Amino acid sequence: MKKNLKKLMALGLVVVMGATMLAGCGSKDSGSSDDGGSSDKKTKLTFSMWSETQMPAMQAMIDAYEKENPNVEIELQSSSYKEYWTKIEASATGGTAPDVMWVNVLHIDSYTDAGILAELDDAIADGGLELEGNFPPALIDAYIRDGKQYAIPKDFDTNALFYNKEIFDKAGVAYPTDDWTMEDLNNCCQELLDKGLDENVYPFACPVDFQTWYYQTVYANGGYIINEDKTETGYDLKETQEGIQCWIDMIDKGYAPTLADITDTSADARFESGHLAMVLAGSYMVEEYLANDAIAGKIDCVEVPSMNGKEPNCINGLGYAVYANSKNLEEAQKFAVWCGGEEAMKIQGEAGFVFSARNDAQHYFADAHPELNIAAYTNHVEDAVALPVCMNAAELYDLEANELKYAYDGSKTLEEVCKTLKEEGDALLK
Amino acid sequence: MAEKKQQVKVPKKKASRREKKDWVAGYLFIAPVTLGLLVFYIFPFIQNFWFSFNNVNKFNMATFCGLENYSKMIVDTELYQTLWNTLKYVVITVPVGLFLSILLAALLNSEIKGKSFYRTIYFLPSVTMSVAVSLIWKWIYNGEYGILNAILKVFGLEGQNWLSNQSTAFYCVMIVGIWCSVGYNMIILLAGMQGISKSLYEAAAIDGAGPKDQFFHVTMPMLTPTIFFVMITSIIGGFQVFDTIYMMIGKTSMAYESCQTMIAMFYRYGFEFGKKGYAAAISIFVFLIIMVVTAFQMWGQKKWVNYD
Amino acid sequence: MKKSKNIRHLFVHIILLAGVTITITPFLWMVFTSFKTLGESMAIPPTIFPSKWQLDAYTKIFTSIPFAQVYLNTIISAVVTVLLQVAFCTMAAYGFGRIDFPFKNTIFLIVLSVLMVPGQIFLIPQYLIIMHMGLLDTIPAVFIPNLFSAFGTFLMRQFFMSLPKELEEAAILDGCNRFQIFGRIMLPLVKPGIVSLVIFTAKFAWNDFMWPMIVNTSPTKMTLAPALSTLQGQYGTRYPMQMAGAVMAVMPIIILFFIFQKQFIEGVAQSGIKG
Repeated sequence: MKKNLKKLMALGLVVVMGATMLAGCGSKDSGSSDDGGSSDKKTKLTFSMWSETQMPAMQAMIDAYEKENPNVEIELQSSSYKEYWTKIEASATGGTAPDVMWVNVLHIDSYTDAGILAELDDAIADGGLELEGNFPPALIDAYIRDGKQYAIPKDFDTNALFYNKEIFDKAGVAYPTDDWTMEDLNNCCQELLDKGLDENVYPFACPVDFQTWYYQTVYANGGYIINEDKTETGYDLKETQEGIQCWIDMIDKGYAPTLADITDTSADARFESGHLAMVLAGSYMVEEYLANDAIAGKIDCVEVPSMNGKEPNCINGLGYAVYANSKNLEEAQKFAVWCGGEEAMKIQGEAGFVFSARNDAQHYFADAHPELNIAAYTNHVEDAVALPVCMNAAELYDLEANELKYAYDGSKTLEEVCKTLKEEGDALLK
Repeated sequence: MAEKKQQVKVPKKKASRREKKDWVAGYLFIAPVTLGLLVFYIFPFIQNFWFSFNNVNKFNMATFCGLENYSKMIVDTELYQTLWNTLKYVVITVPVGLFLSILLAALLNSEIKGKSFYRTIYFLPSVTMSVAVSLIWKWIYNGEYGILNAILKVFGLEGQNWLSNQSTAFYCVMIVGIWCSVGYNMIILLAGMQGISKSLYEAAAIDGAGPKDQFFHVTMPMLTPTIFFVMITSIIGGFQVFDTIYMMIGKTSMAYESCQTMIAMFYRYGFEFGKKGYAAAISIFVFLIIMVVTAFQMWGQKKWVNYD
Repeated sequence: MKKSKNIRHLFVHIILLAGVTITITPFLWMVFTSFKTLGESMAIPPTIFPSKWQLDAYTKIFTSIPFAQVYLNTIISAVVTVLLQVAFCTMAAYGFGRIDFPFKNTIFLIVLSVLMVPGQIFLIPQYLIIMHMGLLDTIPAVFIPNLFSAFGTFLMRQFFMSLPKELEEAAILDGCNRFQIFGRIMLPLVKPGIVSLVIFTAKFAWNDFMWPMIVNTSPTKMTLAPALSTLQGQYGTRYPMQMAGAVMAVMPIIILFFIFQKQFIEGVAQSGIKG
């Protein structure tokens, strides 16, 4: 025992010395570690993303790029969605943000405003990448601020109505079709209930979800969330409120679980465990659904039901952006631009997780899933509205979810809630 | 090190060589912790204070804005809601947890069999990661598929969505908090009880005191320093509760507002909305509240804690 | 007389066993769920035991998170935190508790002041410091701020203060210097305190959530708690997988606890007596 204590003491002393030295030089040399890489012959880039499932595809792209450009070495980093932004935001000013990164439209306003992202127009021209004609216009525009391109469109997602054939067969109800209207959806729910479903099985689900549920109907109904100048919200409009109310009605009619139930067990978990006949789902859910043995082979999808003769859909996506203070800005831009090219998009597309943004690569996703009616996602992509965004988007969505739950729960009327939303939402846009 | 020697010379005029040597040794001993705390705690504290007078954007770029954060904060109803919730959490979990720990410790302080078995089991939750605990309990409380409702159903009782219901959610979270800490506090209290001299009980028995009298007139008074320690640590822990609530109560839960604590509000503004200046102001407010509460306890302990 | 005592003991056992049930059920429920399929985990009424024990949930975790690496990271950071923090705190505690030097009380008050501050206050600036040191997304980032603990210093100081003064005076007369006194005389006497602090620190380092989540985001650099929270992920809720993750995250420390339970429980008990 005594020996051990002596050792402990010795260790303690060594550490004191170490710590004093550390404390002494830490402030002076803080920058030195950054220069370490420059003596290497290879240019090192970091590439950051947030999806575990897409890592192999991204790595394959990197491998292909490194083969063509032996002077470049790219390190891939991945984290969960939420932590991804925390990390970038905290490291951006210190010059340690990743050189190339995924961005989405939710963050593009605040990031360009703070000068975090590099303009890519020159690099696009140098790399010979034609954006126009090769990408859906909505996706190109999504990353343009003040006339400059800040990201190369990577992929996009839209929504479709998924259904569980087993539940329909059991109840003896006809499957949904592409030409359904909202009315058909409601009727079908009623029919399923009438024919009888197992305990805890619901026809449909309506969580407080903007992108996959109510934004689509709000816009199809002629309403809006944020006006074009981004100066005002549209919660006070009758059209906007109707677009939200149609989902609340379905909860009230018993077609969908109550807000409390859906909070405890998400719509996805219900659908994946066979407790939900139909659900709206973004294209990013397709892989997860198919990987789930409990429902694989029993599901298919159709278009989001139309409303007022319009095909509601909400398009969102990601882009490749470059960090403005990157130490290897040129190489980073070159890689980002390459990611928008035919070869990269092919690699990504063949992996099958997302719709590649490039027009000529969109088919890969459908090819990867011949068992599903993937066209439901792309049939009306030209009519799809982009996700409404602004500087304080995160706070606005938070506010919206917070207030709307009172309407979904029935403890307040939607009109009351929207009045509050209008006031507080407008304040956020100021 | 040379610096330190110079420093030492200033305060006392006459110091023997041995005293001076002692000084040097003293400074050496405290150096790692003191320097570490200065760099990683005291300086950050000051910087955080500075941030509270700035608008700090997502990317940590600060622009001075005077008292704007504070003037916005004192009219923010959310602040008072979270303050109220936090106080409620502390005021309920601390006494209930303390009562249960004392009860269990007292039961285990008798000559029953299987003492170490009970001790081991009760201690288990306190070594378990709070994130894991939250996942487990969230699953237990689930309205449709949770085991809690299934058990209630066996007894013919109607279950509910425990974590989405405004009148139950916060209490459910508190139960998890208590579940995690009772065993730990019990061990501390049990040790306190076992440290009480046997002769005191013997004397009490001679005076004709039964087990009940012995507990209230010998055990409890002698235990007050330990109780005070457990109370202080529980209160500080209660004011900083975050993990369980963050993991268990989702944004679309109807109980969201009634479960948000001050630390959760700080986290949301600091890390979700990217308003670190405002978050810093909130954290300063939390700090002040804890200071007041602690000062109050330190003053109050003189009246009931027995330091014989 | 004996009979009434037996009845009383039976009564005590009933209360204690009720407590045991409440304590242990969540753990069992976690283990059972982790071996079910998603479908079975959501069966109505719930099954208690899995109809077929399967490891799907466990294997899926290893494909979605580099769990082995995460384990190793957590072990490394916990071991380093424990060793260095205990060494630093014990030394400082000796300094504050047994040696007189100018400004001692002022410095100690500053150290104590850290105790009163909610830890989250330091988060943002600490992050910036780690960033400037170029240590983001490295294992040292997880443990560096935790090496210095005001609480540990305070706790250990209590242990040193309770030792009789004569011990040292005699040693000084014998010509021992402070370091010898510390190592040879004092350390063995505060062993219970060291054990106590080791347990506190190990538990904290293993379970810490917010700080490692903020500094380390690569899956290969994460520690267990944040890795577990990412299982909830951006999409979907897979209960068996979450429970499998929880099982694996809590198992090592529970096993350690069972091996060293005497030390664990004594260590915790000591902290209360001295606190």
